[in-house]
Amino acid sequence: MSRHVDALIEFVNRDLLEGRGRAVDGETPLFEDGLIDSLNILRLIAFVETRRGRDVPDREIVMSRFRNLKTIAESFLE
Amino acid sequence: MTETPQRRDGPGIRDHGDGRVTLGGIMPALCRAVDRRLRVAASREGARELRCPALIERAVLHRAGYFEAFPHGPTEIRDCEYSLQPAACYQCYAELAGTCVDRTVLTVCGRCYRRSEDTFAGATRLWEFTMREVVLLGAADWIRAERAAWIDRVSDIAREIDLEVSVSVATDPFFGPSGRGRRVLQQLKELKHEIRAVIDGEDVALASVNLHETFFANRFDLQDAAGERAHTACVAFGLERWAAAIVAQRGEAAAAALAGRDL
Repeated sequence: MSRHVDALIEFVNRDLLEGRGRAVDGETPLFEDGLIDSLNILRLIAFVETRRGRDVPDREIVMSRFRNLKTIAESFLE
Repeated sequence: MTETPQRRDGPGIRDHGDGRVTLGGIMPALCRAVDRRLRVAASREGARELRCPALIERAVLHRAGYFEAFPHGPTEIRDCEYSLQPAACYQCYAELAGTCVDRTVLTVCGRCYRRSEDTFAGATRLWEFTMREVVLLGAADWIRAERAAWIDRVSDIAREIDLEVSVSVATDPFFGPSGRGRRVLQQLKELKHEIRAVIDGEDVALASVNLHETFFANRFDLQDAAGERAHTACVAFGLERWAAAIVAQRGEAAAAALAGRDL
């Protein structure tokens, strides 16, 4: 796992899923059972944008890139 | 009234502006022929047909979350509790509210009214138009499978009448609260697919295939056979657009031949 994936895992488990009794790793599907809702997707996008220093355009927010934290890191941070 | 920059008359289309058209020539028969073909497709999947009023109770739209998804609201009628329906499927959920649904398929056709377009034009961007819908209600797995099957069915129908179409994931939010979060989530989950065709140089959606997950089932208290919250989906067709696409892509002579028979 890259440092970017580790940072994403820490952010999601600590800030987005705290108190929900759930935790993700780099390959956990993010959208299959309501794990990430419409508020948390914005917080996740904001985290990625801050870390890479520029916006994530809406047209690039597609499942092939957001399937799990590993694909997010590969698509936007590495 | 909304300013229409350019009225677009066409074969059998008299554009009055403001998204209002009178159809003549082969267009009414062509719309009917397309609708017959769609009803046959729905019937093969066991659809039960409903005919709902174009006047929809505003309370049903509130319950369906319409005003959260589309803050500009529907086309209103003054001094009464009704609006003009923006889509044909809302009254289907209301009809089934509080029941158990199990591989339930409904089909409904009605006049619908949407004033949200900035530029009304010809028969492709109308304030008042005709929508045939197939509404699917049941367990999540069945709904997912039916969504894929209906994308294929609609593409096949288009191919049968030699329409060149493409399938794409749509990005406009179509239910739930508006805002970027909802929009990107619907985009990510690929909840809305469109079957699109080029009409006179413009790429427009002929049909959309929409997954709602449990959104409408929560609003209208719908359970599946296992006692879980049901999932729903709808397949929506704009009949005037199908007719316009046939004329534009096949030509008037071929369109006239199609209008006179079962597709």
